[in-house]
Amino acid sequence: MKHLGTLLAFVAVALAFVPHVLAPPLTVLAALCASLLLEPAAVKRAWRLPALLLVLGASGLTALLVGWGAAPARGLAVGAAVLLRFLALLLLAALASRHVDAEAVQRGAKRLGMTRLGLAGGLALNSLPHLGETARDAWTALAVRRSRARPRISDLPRLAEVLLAHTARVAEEAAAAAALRGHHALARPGGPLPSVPLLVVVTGKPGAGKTPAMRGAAAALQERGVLVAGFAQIPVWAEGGKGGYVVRDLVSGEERTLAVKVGEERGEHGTPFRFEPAGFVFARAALERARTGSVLILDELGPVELRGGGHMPAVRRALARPGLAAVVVTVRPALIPSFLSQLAVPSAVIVDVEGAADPVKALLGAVAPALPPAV
Amino acid sequence: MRDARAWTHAALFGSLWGAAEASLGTVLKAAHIPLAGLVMASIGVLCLLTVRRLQPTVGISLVTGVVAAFLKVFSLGGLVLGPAAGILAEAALVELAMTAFANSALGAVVGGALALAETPLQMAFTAVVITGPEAAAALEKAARTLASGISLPAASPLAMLAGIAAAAALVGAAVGGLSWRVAGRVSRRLRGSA
Repeated sequence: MKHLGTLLAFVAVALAFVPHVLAPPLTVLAALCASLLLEPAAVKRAWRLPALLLVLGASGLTALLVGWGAAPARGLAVGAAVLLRFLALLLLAALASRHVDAEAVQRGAKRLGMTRLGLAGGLALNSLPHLGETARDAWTALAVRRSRARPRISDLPRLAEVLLAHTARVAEEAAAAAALRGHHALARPGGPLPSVPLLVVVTGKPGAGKTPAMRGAAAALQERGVLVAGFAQIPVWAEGGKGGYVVRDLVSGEERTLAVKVGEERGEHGTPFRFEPAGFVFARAALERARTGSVLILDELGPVELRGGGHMPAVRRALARPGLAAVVVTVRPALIPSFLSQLAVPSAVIVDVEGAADPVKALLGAVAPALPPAV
Repeated sequence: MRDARAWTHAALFGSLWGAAEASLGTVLKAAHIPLAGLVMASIGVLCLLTVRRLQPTVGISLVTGVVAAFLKVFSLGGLVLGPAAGILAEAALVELAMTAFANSALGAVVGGALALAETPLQMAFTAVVITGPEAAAALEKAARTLASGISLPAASPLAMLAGIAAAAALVGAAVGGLSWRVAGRVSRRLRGSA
């Protein structure tokens, strides 16, 4: 019965677009039969007074327009056909909204070989109520902040900005949650590493002291005779904030320009910076200094690398080198799940410099299990 | 699209656009608010350009449009092919412009112009397809009445339509530029909180 009802629903949708005088009444008939077989209550839900008034208004306007353009009798006929089509489609929409859920969409898309699109559709359906609530909250917050009963037209850009930013955050969280749970259906990571050394992730907000902690730990390890290789990205400060970055080889201490601020419009990889290919070549050379027993230090990997660009190809090549003692990577907190997902590593030690009394000591403690006992 | 975030962004921004189409769009169209199509197309351009600026990946605008069109099916206004096809066409035009102009502000302006110019053309096309030649006759009569009302009695319906599309394109270019700016503000807001 359920299959017959579904079939009739599809027949009704198809009939709605057939340009024949008998098609509209047959559409309503097919939709009613489908509703009786699948869910009789859908009729009551679909044909509520406000919806019926809307449909009457739309078909009445059509009748008027056509009657004005052709002949009154023709206008009435077309208006009636539009009315019947709308009534049928209202009923079908009521059925679809109850019987089509995110999982059904995903299953259907998978059958058609469009798994990712299905997942995106499912995610969109699931997030609809949340986005609606957010829009209402943002509207209320704006009204409270402006001390008015309701925001004005001039407040709309700010409302849009808040809503769009929140949507982007939810998207980031969804990707991070998928990565944390090991769902890679939406991503195409480069595959697991052949050998996984101890991975230490140093994290903290911008300006929390990640890079100084890394440099301090690198110097301390070198003093103890541990082989260290890698690079640090040092910001170059200019008037008005960061003017760019240089990349420093942690062994030789040499530096090369990596990025120069050129503004949002001309920036690369969605950043306000233009990147120098020579800087990436220099960083790759620094990573290639790693030997068996080395501690590899990468400061830092960001959104560009998570998209597979920037240092990422060199990083993957360096991490695939067998015999590394440990790898220490600086990553911002929000990017950790995506980063771990990209590298497909099973575990990592996280060192949060904001929560550590002595970040260098915390970092050395995290690396210690991978070093020979004498160190 | 290699990164999961590109897909989740397309899903969420498509959801936002679809929700706006299904709620605000339905209300505006049902109440026959003038220029409702342009308002909704502008919201679409804002969503498309923001997602493109945050995730500059080829194809993301198109996927966002597919998701929004899919959600539009669940609304009263979307129960005819026109609006869903319009959403897809808008997304495809923005995708084309942003890919051709390498995700730049110029691409946003061109994309916005194309997307909004498409709205009146698509409205006329949908009206003709759904209600047949009678709608074409009605539209022609309306165009002639409008033309004579503004002292352009010799203007053909097609010329009127082209003029309306050109005016919509001008508005669209402004909407594209503004949307790109708002997208930049969103990007900075997100970066500040990272």
